[in-house]
Amino acid sequence: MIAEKSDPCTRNRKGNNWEIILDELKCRGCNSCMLACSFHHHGVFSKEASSIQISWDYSSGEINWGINSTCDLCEGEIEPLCIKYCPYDALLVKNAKPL
Amino acid sequence: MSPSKEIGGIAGQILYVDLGTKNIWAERTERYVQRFLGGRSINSFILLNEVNKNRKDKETKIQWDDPRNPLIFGVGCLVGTLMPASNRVSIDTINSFNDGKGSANIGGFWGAELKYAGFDHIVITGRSPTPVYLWINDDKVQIRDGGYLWGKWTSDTEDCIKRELEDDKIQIMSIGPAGENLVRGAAIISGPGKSASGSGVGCVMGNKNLKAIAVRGHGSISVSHPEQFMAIVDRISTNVRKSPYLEKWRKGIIEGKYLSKSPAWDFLASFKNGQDDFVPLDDRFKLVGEENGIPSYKKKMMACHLCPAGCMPILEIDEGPFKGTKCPNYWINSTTYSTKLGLFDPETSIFFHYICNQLGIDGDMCANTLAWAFECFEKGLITTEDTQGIVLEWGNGDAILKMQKKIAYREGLGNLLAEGVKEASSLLGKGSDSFAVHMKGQDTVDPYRIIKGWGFGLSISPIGGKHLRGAVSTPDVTGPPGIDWNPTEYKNVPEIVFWQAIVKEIEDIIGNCIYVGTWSGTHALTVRDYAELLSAGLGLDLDESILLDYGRRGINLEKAFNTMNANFSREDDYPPTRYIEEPVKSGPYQGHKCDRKEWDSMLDRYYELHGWDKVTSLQTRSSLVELELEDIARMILKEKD
Repeated sequence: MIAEKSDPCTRNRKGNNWEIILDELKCRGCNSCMLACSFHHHGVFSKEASSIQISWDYSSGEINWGINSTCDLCEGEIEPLCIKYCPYDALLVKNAKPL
Repeated sequence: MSPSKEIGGIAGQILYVDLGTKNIWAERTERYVQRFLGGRSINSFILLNEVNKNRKDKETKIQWDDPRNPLIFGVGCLVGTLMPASNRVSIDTINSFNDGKGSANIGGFWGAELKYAGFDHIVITGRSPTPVYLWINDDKVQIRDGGYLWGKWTSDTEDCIKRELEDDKIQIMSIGPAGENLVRGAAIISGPGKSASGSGVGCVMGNKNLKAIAVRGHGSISVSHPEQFMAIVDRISTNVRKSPYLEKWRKGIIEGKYLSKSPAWDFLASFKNGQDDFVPLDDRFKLVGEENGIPSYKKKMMACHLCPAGCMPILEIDEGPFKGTKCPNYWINSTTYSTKLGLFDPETSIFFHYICNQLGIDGDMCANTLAWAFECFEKGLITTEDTQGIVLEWGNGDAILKMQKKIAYREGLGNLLAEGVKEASSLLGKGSDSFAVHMKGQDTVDPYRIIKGWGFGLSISPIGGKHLRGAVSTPDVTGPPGIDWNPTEYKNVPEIVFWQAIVKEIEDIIGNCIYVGTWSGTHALTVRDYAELLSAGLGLDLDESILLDYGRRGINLEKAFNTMNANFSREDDYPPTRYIEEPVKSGPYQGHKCDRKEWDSMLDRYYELHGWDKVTSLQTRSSLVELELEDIARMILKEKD
C-alpha cells in the first residue's frame, strides 16, 4: 500500500510500520533527499549527517541508494523531508508490514 | 551593510597551495564576503591581486604560462545548502589564449564536496617539477605523486585515484592529455562528463604539472537564518516545478530545444566554419531526428548536485564501430560542434563529444580549430601532405576523430591547431586569417549574425566569445522578465545584454545553474529571489538593487584584469571579421550579418551603461569609485586618468 499524499504519516512512525522507498526509474541522483534529511536531524546541510546515502555511476547512471536506522521518518515534520524536497517525486512512504 | 551574525552559507576557508615550494596554508573567506559575496567575484579579486603583486610596474604583464599565474577554484557561496541547482564552481586564471581574464564554470558534484571539506576557494600557484595531484580530505591536504596518472584519460584518472585512496565517494577534477600537452583550449573535467571549458583552464593546470584535485568532505554547511532560508527554498522549488520550460529540460537539452523541427535551428546554428548559419533540413533530421538521431541513444536522464532540471542524458551506443560507448552529456553545444564540421552522423557526434571529455579538451575550441582546418583543406591551403593522408572533407567522421586526437597529443598538423585558430592562421598565412573565427584571440564556435543579442553578448564577453557572459537568445528564454524585444533587431540589445551579464555574474557568485536561473526560460528564479536567498543564507542585508551592484562590481573586476594584463580596447569588442563581412547565405535569415555601424552604436551604449569611456572602452576612475573599487582604480589606471 502506498501512503496517500494527504496522509501526514505521523501516526505510525515510532512503530516502524512505514518505510521510505526509492523509484530508481524516477531518481536522477541529485542528492536533494540526502541534504533535506541532514537538515531534519541537525539543522545543517551535510552528506555525512544524513540517514540517506545516494550516489550514481557516472557512466551508466546506475543509482546506489541506502537508508540507515537513524531515519525517524522525520518525526515532528508534516511529511518526511526527503519526500518533500525530491524534485522528481522518486521517493515514497510505503507500509512495510500489515498493521 | 554588516553581517547580522556570523556569515552563513560559506565553508569559511580559502586554501592556498604553492606547488613550487609545497607550502599549504589557509585564510578566512569572510574577509572577502561583504565586498564580493563569493564564487566568481572573489576569484576575480584574488586573481587581480595575485597577478598585480608580481608586476614590477604598471607596464609589466604576466603571461599565462608563468608559474606565478594563479589557478583559482571558487565554489558558489550557496553551494552546499539546499538551494535548487546550486552546484557550480568558477575557475579563474590568466587566459591561455590572450593573457586576459580566463574563466570557466562547471557543475557536477565537486563543488559541494569541497565546501563540506571546509573550503570555499582554492588558490594554486607555482609549478611542480613533476606531475602531482592534490588530495583534500577535510582539513588534511596533501600534494601526492601523480606520475602514474600522467597520460591517462579523465575517467580513468578518476577511477585510479578512487582506487588508490580506497574511497568511491571522492569527487575529482582532472585534466586529460590535452592539458598535459598544453593545448590552448584544454579543459578541466569532473565526474559525469562535466567540463570547465574555455580560457584554457586545463592548459594552465597542465602547465603546473597538476593532474587532478581530489576532494572528500565530511563536514556541513549551515545558513544564518534557517527558517527564512527554507521558506524561500520552498517557494522557489514550487516555482521551478510550475515552469513549462523545466519539463522541456528534463527530457534533455536536445529534446527540449533542438529537435529537428525546432525553430532554434534556424537562428542558432553555425554551419561549416561559419560559412553559413543555415543547416539543411535533411541534415538536422539525421543528427537529431527522434527515431534515429541523438535522442534515440538516450537511456536515462541524470542530474547534477541539487538540480531539479536533471538535463543530463546518459547515452549508449549498442552496435557498430562505437559499440560499448556509455557517456553522460550531450548539449546544444554538441550540435554546434557537429554543424560547424558538417557532421551529421549521430554516433560520430556523440563519440566526438565523449572523447573531448576524455582527452580534456574544450569542444568549442576543438570543433572550431578543426573547422578552420577543413576550410583550409577545401581552399587548397592544406593538403594531404600536411595531414599525413587524412582527407579533411566536411562531415568526414573518421578524419574528425583522428584529427581530434592529433590536437590533444600535438601530433603533426594537430600541433599547429593546438594553438587555436588565431595563432594557427598567423603561422600558416596564405590569407587563412580571414576565416579564422575567434574573439579576443580565443576560438569561438557560436553563431553571431542572426540573433543580435547573442552576437553582441559574445563580442563583449570579457573572456572572449563565450555565450555565458550576457548573450541572450529570445525573450521567452533569456533576458529581463517583462521586456519584449525582437531577437533579430538591434533595438535595446545593449540594455538587455547589460542586464543578463550582471545577473550571470550574480549566478556565478551564488553557484546556481543557468538552466534553473534567468537564462533558460524557466524564469523560476529572479534577482529578488537571489537577494532573499543570500540575505537569509549569508546573513547579509541585501535587496535587488544592492545585489545588482555586486554583479556590476564583478564584471568590472574582469574588465580591469583585461586592461591590466591584456591591453584590450574597444576594437577587441567587435565580432569576428567573417561575421561582419559575410552575410548568412541561405535560409529564412539570409542576408543577416553583424553590421559594424550598429555595433558602433551598441558599444557606445553598453560602455555608457557601465560608465566606461566610449572611445577607448576603458573604465574611468569615477565608474570604479562608484562601485567602491578605488583599490582597483589605483591598480590599473595611470595617475593622469
